[in-house]
Amino acid sequence: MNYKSQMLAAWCGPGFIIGMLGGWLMIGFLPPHMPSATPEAIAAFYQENPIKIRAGLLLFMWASALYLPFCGVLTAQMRKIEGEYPVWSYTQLAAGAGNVITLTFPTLFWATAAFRLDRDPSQIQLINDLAWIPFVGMTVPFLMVPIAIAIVGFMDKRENPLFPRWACYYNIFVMFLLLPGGVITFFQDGPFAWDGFFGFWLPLTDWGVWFCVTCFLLIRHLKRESLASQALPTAEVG
Amino acid sequence: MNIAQGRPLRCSSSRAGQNRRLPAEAGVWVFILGDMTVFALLFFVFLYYRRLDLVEFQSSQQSLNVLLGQINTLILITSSWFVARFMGAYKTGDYLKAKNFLAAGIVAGGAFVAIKVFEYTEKITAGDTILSGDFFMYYYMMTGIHLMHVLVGIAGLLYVYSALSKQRGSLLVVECAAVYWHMVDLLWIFLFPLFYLL
Repeated sequence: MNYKSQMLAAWCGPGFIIGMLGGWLMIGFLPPHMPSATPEAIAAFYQENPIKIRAGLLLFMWASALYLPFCGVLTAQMRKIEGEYPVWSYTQLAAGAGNVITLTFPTLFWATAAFRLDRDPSQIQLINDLAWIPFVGMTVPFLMVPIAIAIVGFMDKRENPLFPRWACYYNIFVMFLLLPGGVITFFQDGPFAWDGFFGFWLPLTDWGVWFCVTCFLLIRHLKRESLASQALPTAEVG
Repeated sequence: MNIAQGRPLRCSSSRAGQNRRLPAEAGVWVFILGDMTVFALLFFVFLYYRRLDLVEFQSSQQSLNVLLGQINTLILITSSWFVARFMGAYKTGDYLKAKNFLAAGIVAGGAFVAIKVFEYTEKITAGDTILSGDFFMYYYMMTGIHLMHVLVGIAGLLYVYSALSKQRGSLLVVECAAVYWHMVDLLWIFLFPLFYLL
């Protein structure tokens, strides 16, 4: 039962990624619109297909809820490694909660932009900016998750660790790539703007791949643990 | 691992051949190669946009202080040399000498940061900020990202220094910090001609 509940939570991870991507594609945010676009162009984006945008945002928001069980099982597994003082597991847990806020809050701003379409275009643009800047620029909770994973991963001295050492170094690398996200506030165009290669595409790919790798390692570890406990039925205590 | 008990290791460069071992561990190289790939992407993007607006890039480049760039290049290469000497001394078990070389490397790294900050201040007071055209956008972003790497590298070297002072620190950690520091140096060797000389 314990295994099943953990597995369910872990599989929320892939569900989260698929749902988010689906919602994102439905809205039409890939590629994202340019920060330098005119207010009229931004307003027209929302006016053209508001129902599709609203439905896509809803799907996106629902999918982001699936991050929470995933974060829960990750925390439980990390806590086991840390033992009595699960400092970094809790840091990861808090950051995970922050991640959901970072994903859902801009969603509601986009929904607000698509809510009253007869608004002055410059107001729609303002709300649109208010969604994009935190969405791409709020890197703080996202940064802490790979840091916490790397630290806990290095502590894991078991024969079959949750995160192998290469994964710990990979997490540090992922963190470095997410770090410059905050500079999008300086640029309205070019590769560092929120639609640019280094502002958007690279961090997005980086984070997406990282999430898939983390899901894979977590699910693999749960399966291994279950096999080990089946081999030793007496080990199941309390 | 207590370094006093650690078996002295030969410098890997002195024994080329069948017994060659990857410094640090394979995982570190995931990070190093990943990081260098990202910098390579940055270099290509810079070169691509430079070609599209050659005149503006070249005129902006004229205002950079080449002398400070040269000094910083020398400082960083010297620092890398100190760290290489430190590794040599560490592996032969001469910890006092190792610590001195390491301290010299750290001081040189600090000097690089100080000169870079001076250079930024000089540029900003002259009116060339991150928003003064594409050249300066790349200049501040790329040298800024590199500077962050320098700071992380210095933190790593300082950690190794304090570990050595407490008679701790494993070969793995020491090699990690050293490999990372050489990468920081290598990246600058690409950045310097790209921005100052090209």
